[in-house]
Amino acid sequence: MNFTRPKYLRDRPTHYCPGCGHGVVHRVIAEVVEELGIRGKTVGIAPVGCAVLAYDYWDFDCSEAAHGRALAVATGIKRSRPDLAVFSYQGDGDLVAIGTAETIHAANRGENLTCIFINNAYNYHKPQRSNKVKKGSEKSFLKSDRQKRFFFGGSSFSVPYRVGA
Amino acid sequence: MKLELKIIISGFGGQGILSLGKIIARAAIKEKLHAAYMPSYGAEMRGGTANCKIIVSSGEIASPYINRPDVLIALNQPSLDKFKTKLKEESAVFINTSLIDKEYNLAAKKTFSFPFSQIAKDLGMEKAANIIVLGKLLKEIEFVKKETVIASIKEYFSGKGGIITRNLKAFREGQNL
Amino acid sequence: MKTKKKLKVHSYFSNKPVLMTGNDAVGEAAIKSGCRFYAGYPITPQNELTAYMSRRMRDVGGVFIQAESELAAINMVFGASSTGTRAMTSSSSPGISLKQEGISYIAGCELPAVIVNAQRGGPGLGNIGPSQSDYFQATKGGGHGDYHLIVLAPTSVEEAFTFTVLGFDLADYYRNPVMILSDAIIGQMAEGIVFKKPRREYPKKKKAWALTGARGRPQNIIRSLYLGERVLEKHNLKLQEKYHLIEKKEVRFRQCVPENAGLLVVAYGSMYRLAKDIAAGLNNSRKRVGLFCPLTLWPFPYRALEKAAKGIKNILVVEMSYGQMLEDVRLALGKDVSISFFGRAGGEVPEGEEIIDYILKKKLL
Repeated sequence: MNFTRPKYLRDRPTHYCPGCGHGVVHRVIAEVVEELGIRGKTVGIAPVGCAVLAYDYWDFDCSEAAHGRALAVATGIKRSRPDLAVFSYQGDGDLVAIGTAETIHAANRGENLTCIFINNAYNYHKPQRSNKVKKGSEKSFLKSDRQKRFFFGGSSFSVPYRVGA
Repeated sequence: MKLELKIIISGFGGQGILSLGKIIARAAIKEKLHAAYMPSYGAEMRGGTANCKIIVSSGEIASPYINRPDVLIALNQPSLDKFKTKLKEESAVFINTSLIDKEYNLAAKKTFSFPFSQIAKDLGMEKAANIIVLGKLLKEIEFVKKETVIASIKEYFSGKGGIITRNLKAFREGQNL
Repeated sequence: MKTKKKLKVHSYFSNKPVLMTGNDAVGEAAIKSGCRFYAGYPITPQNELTAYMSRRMRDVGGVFIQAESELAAINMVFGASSTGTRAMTSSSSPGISLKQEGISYIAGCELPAVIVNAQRGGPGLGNIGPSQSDYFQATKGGGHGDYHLIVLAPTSVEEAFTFTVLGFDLADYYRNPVMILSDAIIGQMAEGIVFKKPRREYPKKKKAWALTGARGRPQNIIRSLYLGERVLEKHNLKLQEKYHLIEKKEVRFRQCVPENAGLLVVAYGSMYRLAKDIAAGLNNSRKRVGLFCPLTLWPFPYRALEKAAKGIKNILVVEMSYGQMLEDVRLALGKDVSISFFGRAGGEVPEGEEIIDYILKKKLL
């Protein structure tokens, strides 16, 4: 078991609530970047939501994006620099509310991107229902395996999130 | 010598209105004249008055819009109806009698009425009526050299197979009218 | 994806004039300026530009994306630009409205980008005729926050070309988005143009801020979010300093004011062409018509206009709108100057004759 801080996770306290899963996912991402040795060619795109300052916690090139537009921004980056490893990090609102169009179309174009989807309820304000996909209904709008793989890249982790006010 | 020629070409979509306009404009710039070409994609498309405006000039061209044309090429009835009020006495009008039966009292004194569409059909190239008109236009008003227009026609239809030969034939036909 | 095959870039220098539409000229200028990313969505009257880029980008190994919306397109440009790539998008009025959020972000993040607006009739869906009704949107807004777009307004196909080349240089030099404000007339008309080599006025700067992968250097972050105390204010002051510099150095205009001018016509873009016709129609030895044409709408040539209008009895502003640039003219000249306005919008183009009638009726000359 590894309890050292990963190299590319900055040595600064995060603003996340105690017990929040964002810290865990940020750490995992930093570990993976280190393991794959790709710090020099990674670009991460931060969302709008609690993780809006994610780029302050990682030590590789990052960009912000307007709410929901991370996959469009990621498309622009990856298509211009196909040699870079580009990923977006998005919550429910970002990915499947305001960003549904950008998400579906990036998947439909088959963009070579990684999308880390933090699949819980909106949590920035009081608890709100999110537009997240109901379990089982994915088949109706994701037409191919390629899209399903793309879409569910990040949500197979089970991490705790704050659900109460 | 100062040259300024304002041409309006009008007909229904498919009669090669815009192609004719571009061929003329290209011929003009080949001879280092100024040219402005302005297609009309607007409401005028309905009722069969797709048109374009070409200005050929030895000096700089200000507005690309034409209020009173020096030349009107009317390939169908609605086109003649639409633009006849804009004609000046000195305007030259080329009328396609195949599709225009009412000629009216035009302000313009110089009219050239021929069944351009029928002539084209008889030659087996229905779509080249516009080039026949071009041949006649250049015969009446030699604003650029014949060779330049021929080069422009060749360039415009390049890569489209035997069409160049047919169009050059149509051009010669127009010159002989 | 870049390939090794020989890439077709038309020879830059040419004495042979080529017949090109304004839309195509913008596209060719972008290619010749090294733009290698274009994202767009179809909308009349700039479809020719999108189609042109789809062909030419392939020729030069660049990226062309028909995005799912104008909104997605501007965000793709944001991303491409953040890697240091010269990126462009284009649309017409309703689509430009969709881009406003992205433009604000691009400005806030200090990214270079070129955005082309071929104005059409509005508001709402409007029609596909030309207009100049997006002047306010381009120069006074339309996204949120204290930012400015550098706005260039070409009056001919040749200027559509040269201003696009200039636009990329300005965007890179100042790290700011630039708008090429044309309309359905400039976009769809064709004129002969000779591709002359532009003078390099702006030195190429290395984009050390770009997201190119942090190999051997600290991370770069592209952001417009600054939450700390007074940090956003500091960032804004930096932006304001930049805008003041642009206002000082990048004003461009054209004027032709004869000595005893009784009337000065102020118009931009395609309306300047119309104004030239009007002036030619009215000029005689006693009464003369002067012309003033702002080429940069932001920064607007306030001082130059004030100087040009000195001593002229009447000013006439002509726009395909109901009075947008008119407000900047009023700002420049003050309330003691007699300023008249002739405008038609809704996709309609004013006729030279009706403007001359207006001038004579109102006794402006």
